[in-house]
Amino acid sequence: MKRAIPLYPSVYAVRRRFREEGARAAARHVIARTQAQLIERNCHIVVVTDLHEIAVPVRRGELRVESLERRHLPLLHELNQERHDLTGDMRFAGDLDKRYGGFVAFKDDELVGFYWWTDASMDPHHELRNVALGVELGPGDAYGTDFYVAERHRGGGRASDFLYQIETALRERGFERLWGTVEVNNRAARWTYATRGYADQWTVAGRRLLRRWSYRTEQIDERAGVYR
Amino acid sequence: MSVAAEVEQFVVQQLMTGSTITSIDHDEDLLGAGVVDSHGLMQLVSFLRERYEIAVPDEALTPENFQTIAAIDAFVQRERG
Repeated sequence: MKRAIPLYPSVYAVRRRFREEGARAAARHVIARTQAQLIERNCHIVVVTDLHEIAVPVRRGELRVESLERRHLPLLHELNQERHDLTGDMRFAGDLDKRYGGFVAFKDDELVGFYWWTDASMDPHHELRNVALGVELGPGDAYGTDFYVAERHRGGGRASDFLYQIETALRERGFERLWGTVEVNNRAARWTYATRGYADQWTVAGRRLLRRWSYRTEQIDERAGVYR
Repeated sequence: MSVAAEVEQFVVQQLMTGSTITSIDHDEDLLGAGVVDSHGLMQLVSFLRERYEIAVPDEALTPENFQTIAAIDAFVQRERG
């Protein structure tokens, strides 16, 4: 059963603000919280890379990459908690039911990160179905999503090495292009994609009013900061 | 100490931990060598902000500005005017 989004801030928090900071602060808190419940915005950049030209990273992360299987799900739970993804466990189990593909990376025996992918033959991924990304997958296309590297394993070129091994594995499966999205404000991820040769295609600005999302596709504005 | 020397020291001490290297040629390709990966870039941006009070906007995060120590030095000099 879906839980309705509460349209009011917590009474306890408002009373605390009022007590500690006064009426104006309490009123500001009410307005900010109500606004956050009513409206939400995000913005992603759609990126793509040509799998015929995979750059080999100079610095390798000493990773062992495997295809993601159901036995890996308990390990993914820990990383979902780390990234505050409350629906991740259920979503990933469902993604496996739909036969979506995935990869997991290990350093020694410790899980470093995960990556999910789909293609045109599979059930359309919810991001492609519900979000107007403007990506139409062809027979040689794969769409990558939910790419995550555990905080304690970042650095040392591991994200880049993980992507390199993913790209190689997908090329071996016959794919020619790999699509993805990255949040505009995620500078680290954008740097990883840019230095691995992914090309920015367009941005998709999302806006939620109550529970309804709408999306607008925009051309890349070079001045807005695209790493080229 | 010059900006280039300070950046070099930061790169060696913070981004190349575990390495026995104690100095880097200022024209060495830091991206190609994997020294400035996404994590390294974020550390470098924080260092530039704290040490030289330079805010690095999105449009300045280009490989050209962070490819070498000489390039980072030139970027800092430009931003400081």
